[in-house]
Amino acid sequence: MKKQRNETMLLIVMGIVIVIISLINPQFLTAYNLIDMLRSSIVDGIFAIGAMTVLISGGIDISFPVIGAFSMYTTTILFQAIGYEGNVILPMLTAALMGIGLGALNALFIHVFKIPTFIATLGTSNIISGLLLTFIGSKAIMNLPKGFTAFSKSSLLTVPAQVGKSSLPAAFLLLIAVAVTAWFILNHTMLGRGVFAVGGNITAAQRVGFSVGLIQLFIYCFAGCVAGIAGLTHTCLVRTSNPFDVIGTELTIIAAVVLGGTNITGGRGTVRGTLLGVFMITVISNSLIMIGISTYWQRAVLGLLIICSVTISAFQNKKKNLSRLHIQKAGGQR
Amino acid sequence: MKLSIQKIFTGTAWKLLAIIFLVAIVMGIRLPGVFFSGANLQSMLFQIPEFGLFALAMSMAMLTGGCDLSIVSTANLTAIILGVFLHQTVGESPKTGVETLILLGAFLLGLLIGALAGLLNGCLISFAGVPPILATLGTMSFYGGIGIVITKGSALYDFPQGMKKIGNGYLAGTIPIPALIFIGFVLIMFLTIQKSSFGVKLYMLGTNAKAYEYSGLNRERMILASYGISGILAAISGFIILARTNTANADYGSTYIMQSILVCVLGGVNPKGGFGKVTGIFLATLAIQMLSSGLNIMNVNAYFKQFVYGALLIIMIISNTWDHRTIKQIGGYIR
Repeated sequence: MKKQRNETMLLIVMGIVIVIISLINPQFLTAYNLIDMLRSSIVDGIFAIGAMTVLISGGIDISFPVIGAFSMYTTTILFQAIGYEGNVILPMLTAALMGIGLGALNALFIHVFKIPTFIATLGTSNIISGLLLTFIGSKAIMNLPKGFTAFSKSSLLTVPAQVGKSSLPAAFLLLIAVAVTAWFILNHTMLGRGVFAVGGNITAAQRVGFSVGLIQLFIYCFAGCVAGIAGLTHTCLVRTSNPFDVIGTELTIIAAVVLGGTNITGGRGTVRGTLLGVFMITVISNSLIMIGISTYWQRAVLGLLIICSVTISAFQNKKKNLSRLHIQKAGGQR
Repeated sequence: MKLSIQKIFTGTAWKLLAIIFLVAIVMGIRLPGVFFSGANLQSMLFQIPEFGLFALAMSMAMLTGGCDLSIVSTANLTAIILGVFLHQTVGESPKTGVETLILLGAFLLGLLIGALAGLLNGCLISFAGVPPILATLGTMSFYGGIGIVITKGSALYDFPQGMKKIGNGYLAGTIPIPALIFIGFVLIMFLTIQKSSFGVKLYMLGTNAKAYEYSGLNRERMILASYGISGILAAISGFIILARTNTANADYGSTYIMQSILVCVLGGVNPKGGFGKVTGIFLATLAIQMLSSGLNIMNVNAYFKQFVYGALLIIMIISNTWDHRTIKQIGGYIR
């Protein structure tokens, strides 16, 4: 119930923002601008679903952009070197597998060595980016295998824009596929129950009989896998493989996930809310330019947005805990 | 509390001394005459204060079981606001007395900005109950964003001569002034954390927040204080950055966050709170600076340095956890 209320609130806020912006600049609510915004939400959306899974489990992962960068760059180099001519499916699987491997590294440090998630992923993100940029390369690759470019050119929907046309790439289906998979696992499998249980109370989850180690292995491998897919999708969409494009986006994406109603202390979160959060962030960064606010404000506004959404989320938690305390007290008195 | 050698030299201190000696020996063999030259030692003394203060700031948050990611943004914001302040107040060629007064004013203003930034973090964490990492992630972006709005994305430069003297001058011709400021604050923090009731409360809050509240102490006030101090220390670092580089930039030194967390962990601060000493942090600062200078002299690129830091962070935290586990097994010997 509460989840839905949160999403409705986000929808209402988004509606108000969109109405205000389109009153100031009618260009905003045109088909091609909307498609442009959807297009630029794809990669962030895929990343966000991985980040959400980790946040639901009560952890925080800041290594996913680096994992994405590593997977996409290494995959690109690999398939360029062997002169690959086929479609994008095999490279996508390769990137996903690399992501899974790197995610397993996170899970190892977090579960086996009991390192706090933030510190562990901070460490691995430095290790992975250090390895990537020193030994594999740091220069942007412009000339991609044919399959990558073909993937970026295939479109679902094309509308004419002021200049040229604006189209929704087939990669959008990938976002939907990832989202549906995550939704299915989280809401309709025992594994998903486990993810929520670990986020709600890790000791309780253990006592109920969930295998916390396996669940954490799944969470970080899933986040890594999704990051690998997101990275390669980014490469295909912008038609360059530049590690620096992706590294450093963790802040925006975590902001989007929190904005989407994922509980900051774990145990609650929805795929729908997360996607709404990502779209909201895109709308805001897009609209700042459209209503003529200088881009210098972007980071401050993003920061303010994060502060507000985490504060609201924290107050909701407090209220819930207070009412729970109240019930306990009443029960005790009886 | 008596100062005993056993207490200072816990397991962490031995590890740190081992790292310092290892780096010194490797550098001494590989690059004799370069690493131990006066010039290199002096340049190390110039670089230590900035991230040493960041590490102290980070440790204030980490001792309570939190984390302060906004320290570098706070420092940059302080530097930028002080830059604007100095541009507004100092004319073409002010008298020395007036300039000293203005610089003193700037320093105090910096402390105020740092305290405010830290208190906002503290409010979000204590009153609203936001997890420290997320709260300071938000303020990191917010403070940095305000900095960008003020500078319009570029850097401020050209500050009065007195400022340059603070950042690049020497005492008695040998010891850099920033290093003196740093040592002063290390002493102050040593007294506050390890020799006062405030420190005892801080450790207690970090070890067990519930027990802290049940013993009738005010948790909110303590968190506010620790993040306030963290902000002040970050602001002083910002003041030193402004004085040393003579520029103020919203994007300066983003790698310092990682470095300061590394220094804290290396210095024996437990990220879950409650453990860690100023002496450890001080030694860890020296160790990391030696490592960093050594890698620089050996022409290791910045990316590989990142790798080294990341690996060191993971290795140190694993070894620290094991230390804590054995301590617990031995039977409740705390700190």
